[in-house]
This record gives sequence, C-alpha cells and structure tokens, in this order.
Amino acid sequence: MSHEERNVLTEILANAVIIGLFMWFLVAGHAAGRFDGPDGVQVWAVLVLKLIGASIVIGIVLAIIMAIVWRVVTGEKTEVTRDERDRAISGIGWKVQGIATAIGVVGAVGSLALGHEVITAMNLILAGCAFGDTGGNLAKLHAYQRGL
Amino acid sequence: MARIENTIRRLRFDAGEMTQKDLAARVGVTRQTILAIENGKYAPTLELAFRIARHFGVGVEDVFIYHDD
Repeated sequence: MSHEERNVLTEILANAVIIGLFMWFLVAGHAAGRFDGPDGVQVWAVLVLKLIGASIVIGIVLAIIMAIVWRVVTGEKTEVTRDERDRAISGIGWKVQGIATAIGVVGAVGSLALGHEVITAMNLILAGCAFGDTGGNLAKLHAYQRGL
Repeated sequence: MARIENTIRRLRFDAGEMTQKDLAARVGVTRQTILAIENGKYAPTLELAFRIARHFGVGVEDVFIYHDD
C-alpha cells in the first residue's frame, strides 16, 4: 500500500468521524432551537467554522496515528513520493467530489425554491461537501485496489 | 476490447533480478505503480513508458505490446 493509498484510507476514517461530529452538533443545535432566532444563520455559521477547525485537527492527528501504526505493524518506511498514478487517481476523486457538491448546491437552491429555511439549504450544501469528500475517497480507494 | 501486455517482469529478471523498488526509484515512481503496471492495473503515460523502455535499453514496443482484440 502506497503512502497516498494509506492517506485515502485515513481520510475515509477521518471523514466518518467528522460527519458524525457535524451531525451530532447540528442535530443537537436544531433540537435545542439554537438556529431559530433572527441570528440563527450566524450561530450556525460560527458553529460550522469551529467544527471545520476541529475537523482539520482530527484529520492531522489521525494521519499521524495511522503513519505510526503502519510503521509499527509493517516495519515499512513511509515512501512519500507522489507519482503520475496518484495524480490520475486523485483526478477521479475530484470528479466524484465535484458532482456530489454540485448536487448539494442544486438541492439547496431547490429547497429554497420550495420555501424551506436558509439553514436547511446551508445544511444541504454542507452534506454535499461532506459526502462528496467521502465518495471521492471511496472512488480513489476503488481505483487503487481495482486499477485504472 | 484493446489489451496492453508488458514484459517488465521479464526485463527486470534479465537485468539481474532487479527489484520493483529499484526500477521505481530509477524511473521516478512508487513501487506500487510498477506493481500496478506489471499486473495490468495501470496504463502508464507515454513519458513513463519511454523512461522504462530507455532504462532497459529497449524500444517501447519491446516493453508494451498492444493487442487489438
């Protein structure tokens, strides 16, 4: 398994944790009515920015842990080279992620057209990005395992 | 459907049983990419195909064989 392939696995794991974290806080916020007031969108945006910060830290910590575990289990030294195959596979991931994000944006516009709240639309965009990232990584993992 | 076979494994053997890791280092890719090419799971760019061929001192068509099935 190459360094890049292991990174994809780490990102899938990190995304699962991060999506769980986002859902936990956003669902709890909705249930508590934190986004209902006139400044509801601002409260939502501040929370999401904090969660994005936390996501970056979680991603870095998991990457470090995975690198250490990999070294201990396999004894292999990390080969950080990124070559043409990694770049080709990365392109596939970007395509999948772009499509999912676009679906989220169109869904958000559609929800606004149907009269839903702005926060519902924002959540749809967020979901499109989050699941797009996971979908992109799964597509990359598939390409690494099955070939291009 | 077109199929591309390659002779890299044999060429490595003929070159003193060169390892995939050594070949990868010499042509500037990861060992996993050489493995994927050998197993037909990745078709390299023309540039890499030429680098591999030149490394063994043969032509590209001696390394990659195109079958138009």
